Amino acid sequence: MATAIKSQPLREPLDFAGANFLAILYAAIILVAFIFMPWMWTEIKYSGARLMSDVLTGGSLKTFSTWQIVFIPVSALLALGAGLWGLMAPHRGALASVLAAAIGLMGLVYYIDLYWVREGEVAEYIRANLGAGADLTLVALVGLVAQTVLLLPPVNILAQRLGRRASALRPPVPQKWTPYLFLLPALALYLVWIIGPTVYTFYLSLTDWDGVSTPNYIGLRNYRILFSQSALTESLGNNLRWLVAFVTVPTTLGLGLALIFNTDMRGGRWYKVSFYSPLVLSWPVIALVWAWVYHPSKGLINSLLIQSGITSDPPGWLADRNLAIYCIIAAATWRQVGYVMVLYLAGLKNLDPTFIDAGLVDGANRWQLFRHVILPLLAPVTTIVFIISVIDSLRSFDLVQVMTRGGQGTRVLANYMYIEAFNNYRMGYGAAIAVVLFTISIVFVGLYLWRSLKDELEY
Amino acid sequence: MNRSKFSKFGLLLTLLFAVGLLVPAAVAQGPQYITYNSMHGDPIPRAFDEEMVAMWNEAHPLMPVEHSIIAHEDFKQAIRAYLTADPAPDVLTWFAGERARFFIDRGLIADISDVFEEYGFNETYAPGFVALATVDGKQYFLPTSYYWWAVYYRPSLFEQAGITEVPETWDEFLAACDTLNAAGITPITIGTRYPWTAAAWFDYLNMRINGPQFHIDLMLLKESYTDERVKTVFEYWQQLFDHNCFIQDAAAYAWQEALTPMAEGSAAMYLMGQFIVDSYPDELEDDLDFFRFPIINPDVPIGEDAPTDGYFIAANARNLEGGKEFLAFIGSQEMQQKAFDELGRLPTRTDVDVSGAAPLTQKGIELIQTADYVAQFYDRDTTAPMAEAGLNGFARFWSDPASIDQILADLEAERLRILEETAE
Repeated sequence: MATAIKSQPLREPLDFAGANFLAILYAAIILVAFIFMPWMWTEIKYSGARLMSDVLTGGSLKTFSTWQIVFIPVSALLALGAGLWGLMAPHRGALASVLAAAIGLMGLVYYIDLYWVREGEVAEYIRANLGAGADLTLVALVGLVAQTVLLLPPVNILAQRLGRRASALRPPVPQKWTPYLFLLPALALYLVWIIGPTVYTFYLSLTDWDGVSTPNYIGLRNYRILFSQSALTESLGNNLRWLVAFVTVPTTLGLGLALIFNTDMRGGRWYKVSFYSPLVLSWPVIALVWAWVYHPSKGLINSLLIQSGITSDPPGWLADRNLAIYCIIAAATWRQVGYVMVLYLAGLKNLDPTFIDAGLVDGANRWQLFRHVILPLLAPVTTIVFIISVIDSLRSFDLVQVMTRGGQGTRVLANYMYIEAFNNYRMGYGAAIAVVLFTISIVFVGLYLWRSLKDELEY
Repeated sequence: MNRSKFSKFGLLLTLLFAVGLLVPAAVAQGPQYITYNSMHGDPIPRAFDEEMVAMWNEAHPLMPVEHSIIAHEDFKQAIRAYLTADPAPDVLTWFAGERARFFIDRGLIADISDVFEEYGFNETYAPGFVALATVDGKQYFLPTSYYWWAVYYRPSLFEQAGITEVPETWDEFLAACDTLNAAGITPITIGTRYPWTAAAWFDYLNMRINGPQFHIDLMLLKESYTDERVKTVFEYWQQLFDHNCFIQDAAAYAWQEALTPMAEGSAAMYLMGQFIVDSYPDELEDDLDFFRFPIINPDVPIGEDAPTDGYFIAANARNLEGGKEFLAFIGSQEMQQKAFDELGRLPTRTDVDVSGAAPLTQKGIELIQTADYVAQFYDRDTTAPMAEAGLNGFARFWSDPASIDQILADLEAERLRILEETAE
């Protein structure tokens, strides 16, 4: 063996991974430039994807491109495929590289057409106003073709050496900095998008900002007005109703369902899925569906009531001032039950069966087993369910907004805030409502965090 | 190892390329397109709007219009964000009157006096509409069309119930409601899920009982909501409830949904704007007519709601010149003629040929021309916060008429608060 190695000439083996990697990189650049960069003028929204859809559908920007633009995303995707194939099957690396170059040539058809074939005022205008995305794509396409030079042995070797040289230039980073360096982008985003706006909202609540003019500092006047409004009482009352309903109804129903489905009953999985499935729907969809269910003349409930002969004059549900908020809460509960059920099911699965067995050995009946063994063991889950229900009830907004827009005495705090800020243009006042909501929520969020931190330390 | 080193080299190469590219891109020529946001969501006006943009784009391939259609209620909330953005959309649809004044006073709307000058709009538009467009001697708003409000009804249902003459007075109106109820037909349909429809009843009752002057003073917050005269309005309104005039569960329906009972023949009347025909079934259009809201106090002048719609350009527009050209196109005789012919909206220009109009349109023109005063509409004549409070108050009155004193006290408190805030 040793002699065999020696007999080889002293030259490094060719490696086409670099070429394939470049192909993938250029393809990715093309895709990004096509979707996220301007192809005309300077604004991101006039991207290649937008131009392509306008060309294909006859949209308003159809003049600024030709159908050949379809080649661009197609060639990017194909080149991506070729590059990946090359990386995964290294012995085919050279072939993949050539393939990627051919695909790049196909994409260049668009530019050849644009620069040499098309003539006239429109074509000239397009050439003069091409955006950065179009330019970058051109370079990336040329790059896609050019990466084949790495197939030439001298270039390939040179590139390998250069790569080694470059990686030696990496600055040393102390080990203990690493986690913080990784955290830094997330923390920066959190600061800019969460902490900053929260603090700013506190400031805005002390101003009379209308969304247009410069905010003027007016002290606590927004709060003084707010606490004298009947709308605040209505909203708080509704939030309270929501809260009471949410910590009782879905919690008990969810626990009951979890206990039932925790046994190995026939088709239990399907029942579980069907109770859980409302969670897949977004709140506005649930609101629309239930608004139809509650429709006074054609809705499901009233049709059933009338056809079954129970009553000929059924209530108007959402149109009835005394019922509307309960109708909305009922719709919310429908979704929440499945959520609570899943939480409890997870809790039940984690129970240590030895406790239950011990209870059975001691002769406990089913109720005693539930009351004195299972329920206490589920206490951590119950706390979490309780706090999640409270937070969900406080942040309720979507259902009210879609189903009644806060009419019929159904306003909740979030809804009241939205209407004042964005409908009545009283940003300062809206901010004051937001601060009130925040203050109430923070108590429960704090409880939740404290609880989950404690649990984490225990495990 | 080789592989990772290659990747670094490739990355370096690409970054160099990218940097080289961004430099020339930054100095590219400015954009040459016009952005246009409209709120014409109902199918027929929407189709018209889209056709108008297509016509412009066909004629101006290098200055296309970028058109976004936003649902009516959402547009009303988003307009602030549009106007304060930088750059803002160029051309936007909006309402004349107090609603436009709010933004003009805050310097958010571009001065378009030169468009009025250059295209002769000062002469070709009716003087009243030029006045509506003008603030401090400069034009900011292009009023393009207006429409009338009236009590729409189905003559066949009136016939079926045995009503031979449309009601002209309040007593006749209540009698008609009773007759319809006796025939098993709901007299009046309405959808108050978005409560602006209820405001039409307030506008008309107030104008018919207390006269247009009091109404507009109330809109301008110069009169009090706890005034006895306002209370009277709700007493008359209450009579309609007592006579079971309205459809049940009105609050469950949007205004278009409330058309269904009328189309099905179970409800006879609807106090609505002319745009009702856009959503009304085509095959029933022969069986749709309207009459002037009944006279209650014959001694006060007749006021009518005739809201004016139009366009303005944001002061922050990125393409002010293009926007102005597009505005001139929208305001041209050809486009107004087209809007009149296809949508039946009344033109604000004096040179639109209205002789070929359908009889119903002729009747609408006459309705407005014989009015002593023309108001815009409750939520266009009064300030935004007052409008919101008022609309909520009307909705509350609808479901809980007994609480009217509390409602009016709340409205008055809101009025005083707004006055106090604007005084500072």
